[in-house]
Amino acid sequence: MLRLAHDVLDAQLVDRQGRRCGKVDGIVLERDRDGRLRVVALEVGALTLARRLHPRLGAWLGRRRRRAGPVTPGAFRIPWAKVRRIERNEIRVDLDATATPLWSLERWLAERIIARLPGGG
Amino acid sequence: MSKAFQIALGIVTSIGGFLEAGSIATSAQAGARFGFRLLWAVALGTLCLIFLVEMSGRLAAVSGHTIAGAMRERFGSNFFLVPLATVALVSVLVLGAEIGGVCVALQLATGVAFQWWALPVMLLVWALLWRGSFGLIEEGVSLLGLVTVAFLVAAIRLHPPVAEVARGLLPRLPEHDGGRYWFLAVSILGASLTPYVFYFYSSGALEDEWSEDDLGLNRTVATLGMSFGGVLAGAVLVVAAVVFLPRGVQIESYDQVALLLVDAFGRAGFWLFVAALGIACLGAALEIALALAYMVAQGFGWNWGENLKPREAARFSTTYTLALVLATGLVVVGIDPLQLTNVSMVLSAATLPVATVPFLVLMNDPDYVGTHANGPVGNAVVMFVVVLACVLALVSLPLQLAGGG
Repeated sequence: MLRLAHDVLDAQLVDRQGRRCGKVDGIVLERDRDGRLRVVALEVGALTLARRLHPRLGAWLGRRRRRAGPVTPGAFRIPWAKVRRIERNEIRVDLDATATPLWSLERWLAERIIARLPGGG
Repeated sequence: MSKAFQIALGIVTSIGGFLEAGSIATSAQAGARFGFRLLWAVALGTLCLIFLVEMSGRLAAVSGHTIAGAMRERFGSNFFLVPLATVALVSVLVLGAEIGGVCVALQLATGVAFQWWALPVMLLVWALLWRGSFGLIEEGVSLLGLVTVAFLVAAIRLHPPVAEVARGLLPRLPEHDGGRYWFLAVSILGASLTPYVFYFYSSGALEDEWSEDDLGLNRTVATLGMSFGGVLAGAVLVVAAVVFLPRGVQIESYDQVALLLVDAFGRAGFWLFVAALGIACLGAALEIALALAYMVAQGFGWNWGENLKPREAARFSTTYTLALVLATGLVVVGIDPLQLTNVSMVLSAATLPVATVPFLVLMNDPDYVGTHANGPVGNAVVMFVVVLACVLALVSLPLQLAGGG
């Protein structure tokens, strides 16, 4: 049996190439026609974390998001179908994290800041 | 690598990495003011640290989790923000104290005031983290750190009265200056138990890919390494007691501490002290900056690792860079390094429950450590020392600030 809050929420995500690409910040559930809850996706991002901390903080950040950029807090959804394996200390997902918004801050820092510092290229 | 060599290496790195600005400064002040009387605080802090470090290595070896990663997972993101913010704040202050320590060593060596050294020292620490690997930092700096063994040699050379030293291991109430006594006691506990040490250790264990087979190695390294480290901190206190107490020296700045080794080694003693202080603080600065970046990255699931190139772990590298900038700012504006050290050590003691109690819960959770959960002794020792340190800190800090000791 899988315990969502215990085994999935806040677990480490690892992509196809073995990169650590965030924690499971939220879980998206949907009610199907029979009224049963079904996991649709995992959600990752600072916006999700902010919503968990306080709905009002989440709403405020959400409004600010319209001026979107690489460092704006996001809430990226990973469809449940992409989950490959749930291990004891990580969850493997069938994604290339660098091709998703999961990597936008990482890429922005690497290209805009780190590449310009000596020894960072 | 053979087992014996691994154990030796682990112990050497612990000895070389144990002494830093906090333990040198607090032990020296305690010895100068109260003779051997506060030796018990060094012993108690070291005992508790042995338990915490052993637990940290065990968590990593058994569960494949670091402390920060497991805390986030077990208690959720909201709760995690509390230890994260607390440990990060304390770590930046302690990092400032260590950078200040390196700067003071350079000031003693050159006569150029410590503030001017803050930026060059920051760049040196940053460059070592930016370009170096985990092995280089852990082993290289720690081998150099063996120069701190000079304190032990000095303590033996000065022939302290053995019976009196032994009596210092038993806690006694002070005969004078009660406020100052407890303030120094808690500073010593805070210096021994700064959270970065055991947070860093679990990350190191994962970087070195420990497994359950390494539990014996972990126990040996934690016990012997931290014990030897504690002996060095005790040696600083003993030397200060022999050298400073009879002369009535009240330590108010690092300049005075600089004469610590002169009685034992003559003029060379001054340079030995400069080297020991500079190297010990440099090593600690590297570890703290890394520990902070590890904690943030592990808490938010970012790619982390000192063996990765900066661009492969961009958020991780940015975090230690920012931590270094913030901490260096404290030194640049001219905050006295000794004062900064004292305050950050007491703050570290005051916040210990936040950093350790959730960790203890993890160490008793079979989901993480399986059959390798804590025994009652480990739990009791850590809880006792942590609560004692916190209460003493909360009581003595206002007294110290109000009365000036």
